[in-house]
Amino acid sequence: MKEKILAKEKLTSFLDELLKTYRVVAPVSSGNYSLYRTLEHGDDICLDYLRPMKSAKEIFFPQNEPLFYFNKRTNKVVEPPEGEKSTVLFGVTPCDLAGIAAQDRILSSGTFKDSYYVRRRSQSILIGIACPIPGETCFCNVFDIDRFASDITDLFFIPLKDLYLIRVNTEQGEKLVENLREAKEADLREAERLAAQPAEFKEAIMPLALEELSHLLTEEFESPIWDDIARKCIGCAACTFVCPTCHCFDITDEMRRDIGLRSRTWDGCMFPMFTLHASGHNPRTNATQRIRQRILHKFAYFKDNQGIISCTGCGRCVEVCPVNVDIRQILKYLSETLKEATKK
Amino acid sequence: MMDYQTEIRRKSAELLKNKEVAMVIGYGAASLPNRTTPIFIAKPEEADKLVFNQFCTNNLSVYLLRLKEIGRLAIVAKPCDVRTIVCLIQEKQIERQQVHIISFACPGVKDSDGKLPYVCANCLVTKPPIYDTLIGDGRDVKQAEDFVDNVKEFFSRLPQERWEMFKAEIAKCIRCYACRNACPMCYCKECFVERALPRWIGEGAELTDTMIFHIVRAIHVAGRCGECGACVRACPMGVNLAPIAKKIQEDMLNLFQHQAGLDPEAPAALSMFELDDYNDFIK
Amino acid sequence: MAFLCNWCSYAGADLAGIGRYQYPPNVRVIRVPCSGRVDPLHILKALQNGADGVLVSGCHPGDCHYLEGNYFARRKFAVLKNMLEFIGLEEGRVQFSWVSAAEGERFSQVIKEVTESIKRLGPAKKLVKSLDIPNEILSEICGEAKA
Repeated sequence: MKEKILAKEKLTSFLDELLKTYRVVAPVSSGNYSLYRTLEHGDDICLDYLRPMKSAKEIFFPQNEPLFYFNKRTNKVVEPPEGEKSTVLFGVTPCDLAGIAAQDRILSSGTFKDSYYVRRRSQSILIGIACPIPGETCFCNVFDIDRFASDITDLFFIPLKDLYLIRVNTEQGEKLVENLREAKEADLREAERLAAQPAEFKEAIMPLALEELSHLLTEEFESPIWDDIARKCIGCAACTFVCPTCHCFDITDEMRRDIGLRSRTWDGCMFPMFTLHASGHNPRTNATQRIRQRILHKFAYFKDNQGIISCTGCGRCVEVCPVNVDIRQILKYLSETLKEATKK
Repeated sequence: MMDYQTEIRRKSAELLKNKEVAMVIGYGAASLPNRTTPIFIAKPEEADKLVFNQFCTNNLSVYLLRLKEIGRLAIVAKPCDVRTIVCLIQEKQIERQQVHIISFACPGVKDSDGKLPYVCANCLVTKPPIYDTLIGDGRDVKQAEDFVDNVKEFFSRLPQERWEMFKAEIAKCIRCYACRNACPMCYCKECFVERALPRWIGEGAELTDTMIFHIVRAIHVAGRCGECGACVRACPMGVNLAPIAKKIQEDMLNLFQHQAGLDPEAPAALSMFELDDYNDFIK
Repeated sequence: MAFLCNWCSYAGADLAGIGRYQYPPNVRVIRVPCSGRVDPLHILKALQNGADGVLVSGCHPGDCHYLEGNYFARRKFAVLKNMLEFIGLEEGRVQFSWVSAAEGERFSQVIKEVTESIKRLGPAKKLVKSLDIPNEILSEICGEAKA
């Protein structure tokens, strides 16, 4: 489908036009960072920050999701209403798009799909945005994430000097930009030049390829290196909640006399109670076990089960961790230590 | 400040070599600019990893309880951190002789944005109440700098405005519990938020639940808070917890003439009483 | 909601009943062993579940059945009350009193005053948690299930 262009100064009116038909979610300023929020007007949008503080996962996988309402006495169960307006999710960064792709594997693929996630996901139109300059903590290059294109978006905006080049990937996306001008050769060349520019990532690529790392991680399950890594972690869920791929949840009921609500809420494997059994047994009682689980899950088990690594290199966890637990350093340290171990 | 670093490294190496301590908890170089990170030194030759600069912001006493089983610990602690250590000793979580406190007269630290934190600008104790090793000459050093007093601003508003401000701050909270986990005084094996029978507050980020979490946590640290600012600093969403934390500690001082962690002999404000305590508010 | 300590305030309420002292029926009493048992969480939970006001009442200082419970309570309540007013909750939603077992008439008086002041404040809205059940679903849920 033909590429289109949109002058940067026309962005807000483009969004205002979308707002007539759709609910539009885009990065909005909130204090000294931005968050993905529903727009009231096109000019609410804020693209000043590298990426929103929280990932896009909360649009399809909200922190509080009502599952159903029930009457304990009569056993009546009612599901939440469907049919919201369709949602246009605009300005999703490549790392967050990769996060959505990872969440899709768990929640909307295979035999058992999560109907709540599927409903939100199928009712939305994804518009990605390119990321020309990586941030201080970014390491998406390790996962070969394309910062200038995406195959799960309907549209993909690439910011050039005064305008956006829009790659059109689906018919659904095409409908939204049918009135925009087609891109010229010069615009396409400029976008290619931009994408070809070398980008500076602060931490170097890891010495061991991710393939080998996943394989070796599980072999070193009993290694004392996990104690070293876990020692400074304080066990909060800051990393978990800002992560685009983390998807652990809990289900709780809340009652008002006979009427109740069952909800799904975000949970984190970093909390001690996460694995507490009803019997009182807890397979992961200390921080070492929990950190090991987090890293193995993201870089080994998920790779084995789903074929991709459950990390997009967005760097939010590095940014928000109160004690500077840096996954880039950990991966480097692990691959070097494991390399030594395999040599022996 | 550079002298402090050399001295801290020297002392740590000495303590480890003489086997006076099994581990030194201190600050090391972080992977990000304008930050330091907690490090744990067990061998004297590793002492050079310790750094000391204006970005030594973390309250390291949060690690004392889980590491005390290793043996005697040395800890690099700012005076506000020492306050929390004193509170931990008072609450019998750790014994005085189990910890070797390396402290100093503190001119205040800098957050990663380069600004002086609220707690430093309003610091009550620039010299450590107790210590084993004093780095520097212990004389008061204070740098007056630009900071935003967002607490006084809060205090000066009318109740309805305060409610709106409080609601707006709490709305940012994602219930990650970084504030609770960064706080050395929050060491309960089961926090009230985790209790399911009865369930005091729900999971997820419902607003009234989150408000209650913050109000009750502030009350749980009443008279025990060392005003180190670890909670505010840990928050990934920038929730400003300083006003409610400060209000509680001010009440401790105004109503009960007590400040946490300054006097190892003085019991915590809420674990004692006087016969003539403030009573006017009771019918 | 009124949290009344078993030995003094609850007995005082009982005496009010025996003495036929009238007081408004808006109060729901919860008996606790001592005013010191009352946790800020109890009070906040009551507010969150829709109580327009909370009263906590115990023995007069010096008269506590457990000797010191109400002294500790006094400090805790001062902290909680100041905190709630600080964040902007209306002054008077949460109140405290010392009522002894012999003060039947006084108990009815306290309840009258507290009820009046809370009525003046109007229904509580600030800390109230709603399950946010959409109206049409609520009516469906509350209807009878088909056999």
